[in-house]
Amino acid sequence: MTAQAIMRLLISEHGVALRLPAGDNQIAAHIAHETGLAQGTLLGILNGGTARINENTRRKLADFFNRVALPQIQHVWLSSRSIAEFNVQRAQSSVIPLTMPTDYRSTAAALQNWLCGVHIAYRVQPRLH
Amino acid sequence: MGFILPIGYSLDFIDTGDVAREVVYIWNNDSVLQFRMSFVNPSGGDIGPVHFYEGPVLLVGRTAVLIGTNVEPKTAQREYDRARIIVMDHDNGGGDTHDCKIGLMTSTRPRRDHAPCTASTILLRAKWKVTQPLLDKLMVGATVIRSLDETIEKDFGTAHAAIIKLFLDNRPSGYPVEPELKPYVKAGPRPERVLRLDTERFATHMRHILTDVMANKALRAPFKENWVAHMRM
Repeated sequence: MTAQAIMRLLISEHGVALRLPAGDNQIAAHIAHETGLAQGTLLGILNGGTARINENTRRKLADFFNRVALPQIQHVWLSSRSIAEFNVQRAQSSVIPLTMPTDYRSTAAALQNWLCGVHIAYRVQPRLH
Repeated sequence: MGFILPIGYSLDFIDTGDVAREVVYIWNNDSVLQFRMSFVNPSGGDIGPVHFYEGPVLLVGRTAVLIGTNVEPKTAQREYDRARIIVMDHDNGGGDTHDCKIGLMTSTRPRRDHAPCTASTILLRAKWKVTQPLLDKLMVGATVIRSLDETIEKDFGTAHAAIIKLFLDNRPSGYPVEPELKPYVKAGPRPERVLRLDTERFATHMRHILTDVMANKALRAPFKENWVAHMRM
C-alpha cells in the first residue's frame, strides 16, 4: 500500500508536468512506454498489489519523475515504509519539491550561453532608517 | 504541488543614496541551472563579511527566476536566514541582452520597517576569464554597498551616469525626476502607480554604454578585465 501511496503522490505532484493521461490503465501504459517497465508492474503498484518496489523499477521510476522533479528523487526513497517516511527523507535533503516545466532541460540547454557565467549586479540599496 | 511566487510593487519612497554591487555566478549543474550570489549586510554604516545566496534558476515560459536562500549560523550582525528572488525576461537568449540584463529583485526583509518590495536590478556579464580562485576573490572584492554617485562614476563614468541612474530608479514612471534624467523619460498621460521595467530602453542603450565603458581604460569595473590587476594589488 505504501508503494501505491508514494506512486500516487508523485503522480499528483508531477503528473501534469509529465503530461500523464487520466486513468490508471492509461497512466501505467504511458509510464511503461516511457520507462521500458512492464505495464502490469506499474498497474500492480497503482492498484496496491505491490508491497515493495524492486531496485530496477525504483531506478526507472525515479529517472522518469526526475525529468521534472526538484529535488531529484532518490530511488531508495521509493522503498520508504510510509508516506511520512518518504516525505521525511525528501525533506532531509534540505530542499523542497518543485514542479518544473517539461521543457526545462531543453530550455536550460538553449539558454545556457545566455545565462551562465559571472555577472555583476547593481541595484539601489535602501538606507536603514 | 506547485510553487507560488508572490511579487509586490512598492509605492513607498525609496532612498536612492546607495547602490549594492554584488556578484552572481550561474552554472549548469547536470542540466539544472544553479546560481550563487554574494551580498553584504549593511549594519550601522559598517559592511560585514560577504555572505551568499544559493539556489536554482527556474525557467518558466519567458521568465528566468533565480530563487536563492542564505542559511547559516546566526550572529549578532546576521540575525535571520534570508531569501532572494530575481525575476527577468530571458529574451529567448537574445544577443542584445547577452552581456547586459535587467530584472526585478524582491525584498529580502518585508517586515514592518517598510523595506521596499522590489528593486530594478541590472546584471552585466564579466568579460574576462573568471577561474574559480579568481571568482572567490571577485565575490569578496567586488561586493560592496556605497553611494550611487561613487559607484556610477567609478564603474561607468560620468557620461552615462544619468541613464544608469534611471535603470536603477525604482520610482514608477511619471514620478517627478531630476533634470538630468528627463531626456530619457517618456512622459505618459498620468503617473504610473506601479513600477514597470522598460526592457526596451535598457536593451537599446545598455549595449552602447557597455561598449564605451569597455573601451575607456580610465574606468575599472568588476566586469572589465582590468579588474584582475586590481584584485592582485
